[in-house]
Amino acid sequence: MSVFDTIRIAASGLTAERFRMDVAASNLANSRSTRSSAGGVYQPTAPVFEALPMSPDGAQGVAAVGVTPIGGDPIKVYDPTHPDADAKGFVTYPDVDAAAQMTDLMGASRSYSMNATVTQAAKQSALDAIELGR
Amino acid sequence: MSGVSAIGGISSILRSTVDAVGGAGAAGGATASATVGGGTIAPATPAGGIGSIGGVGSSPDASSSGNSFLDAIGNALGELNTQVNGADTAMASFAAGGSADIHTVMLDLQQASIGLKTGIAVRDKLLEAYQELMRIQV
Repeated sequence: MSVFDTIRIAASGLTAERFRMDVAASNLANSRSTRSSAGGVYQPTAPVFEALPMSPDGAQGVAAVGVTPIGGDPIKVYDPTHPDADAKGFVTYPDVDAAAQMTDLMGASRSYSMNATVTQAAKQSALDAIELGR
Repeated sequence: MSGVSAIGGISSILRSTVDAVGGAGAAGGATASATVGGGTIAPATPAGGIGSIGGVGSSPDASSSGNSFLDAIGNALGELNTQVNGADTAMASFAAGGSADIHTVMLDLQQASIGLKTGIAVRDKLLEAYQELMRIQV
């Protein structure tokens, strides 16, 4: 296994955790979005990750394959003056769990650091290996 | 970007160094076999070996000499060049506002840097061996 395989696997983890942060940021940013490009209220999502063989010896990296909808039913708030209020005067807000999203954000941030540490370790091993030749 | 271009420059210097060592190896090999051939001692195999790998540095894709050491060096240098160019491209696209992640650019740079350090370590070893040969009293 090449040291670059380790770096590539950790890099895939970095990319995946960045994606997880993107998703959390999207959910938090849209916690009050009453309309979306897909039509209707914003749908909170969670990332879906897939293990991906990345090395000849079977070590696997990770790839983000998409998102899946999360959260319960949208929250209905009575506000007849809102432009997106329905016939009965209720506005539909997405059910974003801010605490859960913040926890996920912290997890993503820590995981990103872990993967960064792995790349540092791989780099240091490579440099140590070069030192062997001196 | 200019820093990485400089690395590309170093890589070409590295290649020419290996070419030079390869050429010197060929010259040394020829001298050695001529000297030894004149005497009663049979030509030493290492001299023949050095002669056979002499021309490889300049043409790493030459298949005539098989998998010699300098073949491997040539391929490794080609790989190194690809890495450095890849890092250059990634950095250029990032600087131009591309969608590349910071960590992708940094890891590309890091890989190129590790590859370059390996190349330099190998070059140092080659030069050391070459200078060791040049110090031989005839």
